[in-house]
Amino acid sequence: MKRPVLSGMGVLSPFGPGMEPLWESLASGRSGIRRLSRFSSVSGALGSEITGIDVDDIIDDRSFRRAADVSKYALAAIQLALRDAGLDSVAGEDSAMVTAVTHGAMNYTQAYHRSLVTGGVEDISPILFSDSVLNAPAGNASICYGIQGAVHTIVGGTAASIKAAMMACRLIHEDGISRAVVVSAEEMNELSFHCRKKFGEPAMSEGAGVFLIEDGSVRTGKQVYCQIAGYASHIDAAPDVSFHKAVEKALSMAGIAKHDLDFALTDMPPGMRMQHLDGIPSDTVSRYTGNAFCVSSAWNIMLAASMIFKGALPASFIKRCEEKSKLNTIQNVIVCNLEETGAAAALVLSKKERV
Amino acid sequence: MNKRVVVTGMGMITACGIGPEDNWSAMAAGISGIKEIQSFDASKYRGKCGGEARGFTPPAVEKLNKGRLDRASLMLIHTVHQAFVQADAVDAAQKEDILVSLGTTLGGMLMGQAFHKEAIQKGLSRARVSLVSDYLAHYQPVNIIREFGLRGDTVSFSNACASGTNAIGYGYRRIRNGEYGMAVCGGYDTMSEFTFAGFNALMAVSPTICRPFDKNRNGLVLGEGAGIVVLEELQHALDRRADILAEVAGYGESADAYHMTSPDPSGKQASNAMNNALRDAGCPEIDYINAHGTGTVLNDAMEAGAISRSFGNRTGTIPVSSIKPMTGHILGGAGAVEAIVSILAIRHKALPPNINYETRDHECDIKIVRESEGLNVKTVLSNSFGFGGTNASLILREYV
Repeated sequence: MKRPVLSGMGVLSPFGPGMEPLWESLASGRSGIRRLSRFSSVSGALGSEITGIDVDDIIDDRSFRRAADVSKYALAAIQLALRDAGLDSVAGEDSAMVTAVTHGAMNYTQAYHRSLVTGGVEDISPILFSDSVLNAPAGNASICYGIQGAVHTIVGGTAASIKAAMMACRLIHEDGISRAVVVSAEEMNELSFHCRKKFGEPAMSEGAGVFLIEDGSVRTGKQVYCQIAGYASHIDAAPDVSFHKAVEKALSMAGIAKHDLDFALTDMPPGMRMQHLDGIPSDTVSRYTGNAFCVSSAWNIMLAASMIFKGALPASFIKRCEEKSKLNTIQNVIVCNLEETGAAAALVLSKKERV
Repeated sequence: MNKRVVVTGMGMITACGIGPEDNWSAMAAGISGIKEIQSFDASKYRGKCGGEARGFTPPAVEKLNKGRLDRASLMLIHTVHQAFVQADAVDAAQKEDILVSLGTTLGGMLMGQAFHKEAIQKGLSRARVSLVSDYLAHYQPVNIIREFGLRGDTVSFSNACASGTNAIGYGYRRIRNGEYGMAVCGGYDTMSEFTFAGFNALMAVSPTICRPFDKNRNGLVLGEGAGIVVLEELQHALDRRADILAEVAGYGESADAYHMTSPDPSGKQASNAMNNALRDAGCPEIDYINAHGTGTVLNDAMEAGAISRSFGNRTGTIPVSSIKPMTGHILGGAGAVEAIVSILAIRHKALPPNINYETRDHECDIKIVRESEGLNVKTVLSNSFGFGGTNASLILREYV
């Protein structure tokens, strides 16, 4: 049985490129949410957007400059993750990739429809179509980085990144590959913003989160953030049953009890957290960034890995915890979420190797 | 110890018919469902024809709000019901955790398209938000869970034209590893002007007819539909006394890492997907290959070359056909529909023809099934290749 470990991380968030800007912002309690500037139709609304970062400068390969933002965010975050893991390349059949998206390249989709409705077929740029399909970020990334193992895109809400991580672990077990790149990416779009606002959603965000899951045996002597100890996803008739079962199954796979958890990262409402996480201290990145859908969970996964690696929490998280005695050393963190569809997923990250 | 995975139910909608046997009757006779597009004005496009599922009548819906469902969900509800009825699993599926694993390229694009159009023509504030209630691709598998009163897990693959095959392959692996006793797997996509205009803009659509592997092929025709299989662990199916239709014997996948819309002409990774599936199945003799066969110049030459790479000097002896000239290219649904046709070929001991094939192309040096023919088909390889360079192959065999 191969032992999956999390070995490299790449973040592109409204706080800047890299994990450290995100960690520092959380530590100081600084929110990235402000009045949006990009879309005139929703100007003045609150959200956190990627500004002041030339994403093209992060991506070595210049041939993706016309790609949609969601693809470029993914490509940039992969580059950062590879650097973080000390890997020169993930090219070849020994690497796989699983990408999570919620809305995909919605700005290109919107531009494409506008061309079709106002200008007709002659007005359509082919790239608006090919780069607006949901697997365009994965396709572009596999081309850019030469990944020739399995390349998948799974679509979902906040649970999708956890499901992508689960799929990556399974590919390492089943396909015999050494590593899988887990990508989550979203771009902000005025149509999504408009719809989510009508449904009463809080501030929206955008960006990418990429982490590498590797077979632990190939990382001997190299940096490892944490072990992937357990995972599960579930959907049931009632949302709280979905959440409960996903958490219980992930803990069972990790071989730990709920009271062994030091922290939980989740966007669940406080009532449900209390009911199903037995008062385990909890928080979420999206309180500072807004909702970046599948990316929020990816950021939470990488924050959990950083907590375990550093053995500490960002300072602002500590302030919110009532039971501070548990937080001296962080060994086990659960990242869990329940989507609006009622689907739930949970991922247990641990410092110690699973016996 | 790997468990054996069998197919106990199938549901299918295409331009050729509603239901597997209805489809098989048309396909075995070489009858195409391709006609001039009716659901929107296609007169301005390079290609004007497609495979619309005109025989499809949206089913009664018990638990969901039918008015809020995209045609994609309605097709799925219909095909899942067909598959459950054949598997005699309508009640059984509600009694345990099951996996719903589906693939699509565009999800609920007809509703999404309507929303985009309203936002452009009336302004964002006047566009009906209700139109997005079934737009996103991960809503449709959840609709299946809700409508059929299921529990377990869902996964929504969007790997372009390989999606349906990936969804079946994923379900096969989850059952083989003992995680589930039953899974509902497949793929779907609807005919939308969004897709039609896009493939036209890429100059990938044939202005005449789809003729895969023919020297004079000049593009694909689009189709719509859904294909669903009920997969079960063998003992699970035997315990229920289910009628076993076929066995899923192997699955393989790979990526080209070459180009967003063009396949790697070497066919190396497409061949790897086939080889991985063959290895997974224990390297069986293949009696028939159900090809991806889109009818584009690049795909068909690549696929023929990839088949040749995988099968060497046996290449010329294995019959190959594509059903896309009859159904149209169903994108995310193609792989699932073609897996079902592969099972029907095994059960009917016959091969569906690669219609419209006239002129041999030396770049496609494979044995094309020109007319429907009887053959003792026991094991079939079904290929799917998609945008972004995703490759997937399934091996289906007679259950003995």
